[in-house]
Amino acid sequence: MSSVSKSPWVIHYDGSSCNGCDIEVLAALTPLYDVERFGIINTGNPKHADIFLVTGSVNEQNISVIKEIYDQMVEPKVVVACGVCACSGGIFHDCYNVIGGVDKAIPVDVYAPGCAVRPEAIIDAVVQGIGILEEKSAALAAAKKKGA
Amino acid sequence: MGKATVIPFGPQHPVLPEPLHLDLVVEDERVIEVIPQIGFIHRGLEKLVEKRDIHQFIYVAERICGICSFGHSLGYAETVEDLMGVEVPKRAQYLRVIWHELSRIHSHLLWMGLGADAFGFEALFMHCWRLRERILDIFEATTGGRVILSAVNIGGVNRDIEDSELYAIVDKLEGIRGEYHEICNAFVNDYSVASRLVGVGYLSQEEAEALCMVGPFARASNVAYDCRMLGRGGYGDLENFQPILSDEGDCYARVKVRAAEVEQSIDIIKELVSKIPHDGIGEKSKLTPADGAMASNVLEQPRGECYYFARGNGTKNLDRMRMRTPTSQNLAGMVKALEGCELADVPNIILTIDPCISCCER
Amino acid sequence: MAFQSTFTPIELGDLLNLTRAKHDAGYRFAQMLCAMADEGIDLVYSFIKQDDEGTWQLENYVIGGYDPATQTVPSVTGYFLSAFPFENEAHDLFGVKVEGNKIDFAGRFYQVAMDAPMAVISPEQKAAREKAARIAAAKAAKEAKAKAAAAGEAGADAPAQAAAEPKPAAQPAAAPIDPEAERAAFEAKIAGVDPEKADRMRAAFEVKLKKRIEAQKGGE
Repeated sequence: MSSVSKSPWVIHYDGSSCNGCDIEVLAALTPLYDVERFGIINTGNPKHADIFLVTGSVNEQNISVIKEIYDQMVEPKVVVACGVCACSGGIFHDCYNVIGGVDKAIPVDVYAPGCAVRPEAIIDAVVQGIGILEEKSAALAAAKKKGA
Repeated sequence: MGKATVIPFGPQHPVLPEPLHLDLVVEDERVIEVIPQIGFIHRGLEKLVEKRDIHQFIYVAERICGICSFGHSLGYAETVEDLMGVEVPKRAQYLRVIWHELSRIHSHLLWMGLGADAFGFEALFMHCWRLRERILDIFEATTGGRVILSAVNIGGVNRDIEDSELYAIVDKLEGIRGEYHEICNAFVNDYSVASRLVGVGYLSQEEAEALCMVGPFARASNVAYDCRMLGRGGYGDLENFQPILSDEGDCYARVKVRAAEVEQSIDIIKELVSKIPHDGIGEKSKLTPADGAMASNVLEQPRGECYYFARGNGTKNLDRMRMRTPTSQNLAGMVKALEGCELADVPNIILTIDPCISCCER
Repeated sequence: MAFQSTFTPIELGDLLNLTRAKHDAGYRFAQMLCAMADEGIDLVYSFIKQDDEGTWQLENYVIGGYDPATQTVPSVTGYFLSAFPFENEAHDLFGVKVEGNKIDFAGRFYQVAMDAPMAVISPEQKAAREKAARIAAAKAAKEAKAKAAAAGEAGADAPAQAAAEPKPAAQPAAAPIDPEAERAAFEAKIAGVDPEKADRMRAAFEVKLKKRIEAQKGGE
């Protein structure tokens, strides 16, 4: 499964973020930070993606969207919470329409804090995510072998 | 004519980083009706004025939107200053305008990149964002933040920019201008871009006025309205400010208006740097707004006019703070522009209004 | 070019006539907003236009004390379609009943956990308002005292009258705590919180409430 960890594709969804983290996620893909040189490609299709980058907190209306995207992604998959709102709700934690961090909706593997999260932090989080992706795919392969 | 079909668009869609849901009613390839649905990013931050005092709320205000974050902190501060009758030193006003115009350049470059991505010109997208990083470097050097700047306080600005640094910024912008011309050349002279955008999403001046559109979206339909010409704050000292207009009213005109506004912003910064006074940067006001006092204010954000309303209740918290952002004002125009277009043009038209959903929903 | 913003109170019944007049005079509809008032909701409609002298006039018209239980607001979308997001927002966040909206989402514009979240007066706001009322009352009492002292030198009747005045103003601050009403307000506040957290918050709230009631009893 090394092909997955050598060229992981990411999908991005904006929960209820202020855009600050979203543009930093995009900035990480563009020439100055350029994660594409590592084979990381931003895709719009959940079924093509290995790493799910979520920005912003969870609310009543988007919780089902986040769960749906997560469910559509195929195993193994890793979720990275980008920015402090995605980690815990951040500055908006006590707004009436904010439930909390992304972990209220789906299991999160890597937390990347920051307001707005810096592209360096996103790259670091994705690299850590690749490690987890490798472990998960190894576990998946082992389970398959055991089953067979 | 085929029978009408409803195609859902979004909330997770590759063309927009933000969630916006549209129900597109199509007959064959033609969109006949559009029903927008928003509310995915609604946080309810206007309610936070009850928990955060006027000085704390400035940090919430700039997180309304990460793209026009400086504009929102500026608009909020100006409104609360109006409410309490605070005088801001000229130098602080100039510095605010300089940062605000820098954020306009960064926002327009960001938008041009996303626009290029929407019509499938990925190299152009990358070049726009590469150039945008140079503006973010200026932000980082002057405030410490790339996206959220926290440079404004009620009564002035938090940080001064040294004169030598200001001249260095102008030099940097002049350097960017050359590279920017090359990028603009692709937008304005490339026939493939033109063939994708000319005549798409047309709105006449009458329609634009009837739909109360604002910002570059309206100016591309020849509506001569730009809040900067009201001469508030540092804008009052500009020699000559004319809004950039186009009478073509299509997606291509919207690209051209924004492209020209980037250069206009560089000129504004240059002019203000050349005559910046030295009367201090102001300090945090110690006043509290009076009970029942109201103030309203408009400010030109990169996406258009933003309306602010504040009401005090005699405490250190505001009774009500309201921001009406340009995107919510332009929603009616977007719905109108989409009606009758081809399905493949939907992403382009949505992008040319430059929607900022998190501003819109707060 | 100058800029001026004004606030003018109007009646709810005049809204449509005013909007038509503004529409015909070439004004641009700037926005509509709601704000909670002491009684009911204030609605603010704004129009903007450049007048003949070149000044940009931002005119805000305030409808004070709208009561959502008994009144409905006519929609202005017949004149200005761009008002539709604001009227839907007023309905979803404040519970304002709008009639005749051209693009009506019927309460599904913002899907929030509770109805009219912005109309809830939070404990923080209540406390802040009560504090402001107390400060204002104390200030009034001080002024009245000073006045009385000044008047006392002039005549004998005045002090008795002035001293009687500040008393009713100070009363609301000492109003007894109604545990049921506080609980209801609290439940409304935590409606969106997940159950586990809500239980913890509820327990903390009960302890606090008990303390407050005891403190007040002790104070009396």
